[in-house]
Amino acid sequence: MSDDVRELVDRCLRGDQSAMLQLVDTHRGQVFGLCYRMLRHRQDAEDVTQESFVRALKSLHRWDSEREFLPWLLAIAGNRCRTLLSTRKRQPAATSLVEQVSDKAHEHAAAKNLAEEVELALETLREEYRQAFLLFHQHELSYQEISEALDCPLGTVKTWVHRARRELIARLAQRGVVQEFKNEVRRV
Amino acid sequence: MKCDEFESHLDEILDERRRPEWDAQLREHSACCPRCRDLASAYGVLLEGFRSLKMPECPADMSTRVLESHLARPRLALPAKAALPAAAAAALFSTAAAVLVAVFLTRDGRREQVAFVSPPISQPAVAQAKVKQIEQIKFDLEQWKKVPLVGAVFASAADNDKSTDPYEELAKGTGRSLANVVLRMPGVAVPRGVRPLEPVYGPEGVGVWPTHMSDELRPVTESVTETFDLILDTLPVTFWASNTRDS
Repeated sequence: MSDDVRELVDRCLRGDQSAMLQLVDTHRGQVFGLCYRMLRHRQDAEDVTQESFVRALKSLHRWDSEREFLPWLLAIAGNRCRTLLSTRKRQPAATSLVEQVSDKAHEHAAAKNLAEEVELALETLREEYRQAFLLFHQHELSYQEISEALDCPLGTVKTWVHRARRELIARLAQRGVVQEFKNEVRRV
Repeated sequence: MKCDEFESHLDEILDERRRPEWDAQLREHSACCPRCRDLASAYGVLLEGFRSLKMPECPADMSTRVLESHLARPRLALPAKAALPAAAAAALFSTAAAVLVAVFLTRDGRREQVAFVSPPISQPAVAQAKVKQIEQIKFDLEQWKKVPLVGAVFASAADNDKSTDPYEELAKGTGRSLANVVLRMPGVAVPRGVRPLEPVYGPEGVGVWPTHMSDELRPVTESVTETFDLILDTLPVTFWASNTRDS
C-alpha cells in the first residue's frame, strides 16, 4: 500500500483539514466514476460521492491500514449507490420526470456509438454484477480486493464479473452491435 | 480445445487482463471455430467500448463540500483508534501475568498451596447480616402480634378521651396532630427524617414505638427520591424485597 495514503489518513485522523481535502481530491475521480456508472445520473452521483467521502472520513478509524485504501473507499461508495438504487425502486415517483427524460431520453433510440451501447447494456445488469464488473474493469481492483471490499467470497465475485461480461455480450448481440451467436452464451 | 474449454480459457485471459488475440491456444481454436472467434471478438468489442466510455468530470469543489459537510455533522464520541489496542493489550497482559503466576506456583510441587478460588470477600458477612436482620424482623413481627395497637394506644393515652380509632388515640397520646403521626412498622428501621418517640408499652410490657415526623420534613418530603425512600422505609417493602431477592 502507498505510504502516502497511509500518512494522509493518519493526518486526517489527527484532524488535519488540509489532509482531508487532499484525500478527497486524490480519490474523488474514482469514487465519482463508480457512482456515476452505478447511478447513471450526474446529480445523484455527486451527492452520493459527497456522502461517501463524509462517511469515509467519519469511519476512517475503522480502515485496516494493512489493506488497500481504495477498495475500502469504493465499497462505501458502492453501498451508498445500492442504497439509493433500492430507494429509487421503492419510490419510483421520487425522481422527477424531467430528470428521467434528460438522463434516459436516448435509451430507446439507437445508440450513436459503441460507448453508448455499452453504457445502455451496463444499465441492464443486476446491481451486484455491475458493481463487481466496474470494480474489476474500471478500477482494476483484483478479485481479492473486491471480495474483501464487498465482504463476499472471492468465487462469488468472480462469478458476478463473468456473468456481467456474458450478459453484456448478450445485450450487445441483441442490439446488433456484435455478432449474434448461434448458441446462447454459456451460463456461468 | 473444445468450445467450453475455449470459453473458460477466455475468462482466465480476461481475468488476468490479457488480450485474447495474443493467446496462442485461443487463436488456434478460433481459426477453426467461427462461433468462438465471434465470441472472442465480441469480448474485444465490449472492452473496447467500455474503455471508450466518457466520464463527466467530478466537480472541483467536491473536497470543499465534503469537508464542510464533515465538519457540520455532529460526531459521536467513538473510541480512539489507539484505545482499543491498548485495552486489548492490558487485558492480554493481565491474563498472561495470571497464567505465569499460576504456572510458577504449581511447577515445584506446591500445588496444594495454590488456591484458584476467589477469596471469600464479604459474602458470608453479608449473608450473616441478612439472616440476623430477618431474625430480628421475625422477632418484631411476633412481638407486634402479641401487642394489639389499640391496647398500646389506650395504655399511653389513659388520661385522654378514648375513641375507637387507634390512630387518633395515638395522635392524642403523642400530643401531635393526626397528619403528623407516623407509626413505626415492625422490623423496619426508623425512617429518615422521622424522630422516634418513647416506646408505648402494652399490657404485657412489650413496647411499640410510635414516631412523628420532624419539622424539617413537613408538610411533604423535599424530593421524589426522598418520598420514595420514606415509603420504602415506612412500609414493610424492604422485608418483602429482601425475601424475594433471596429466592
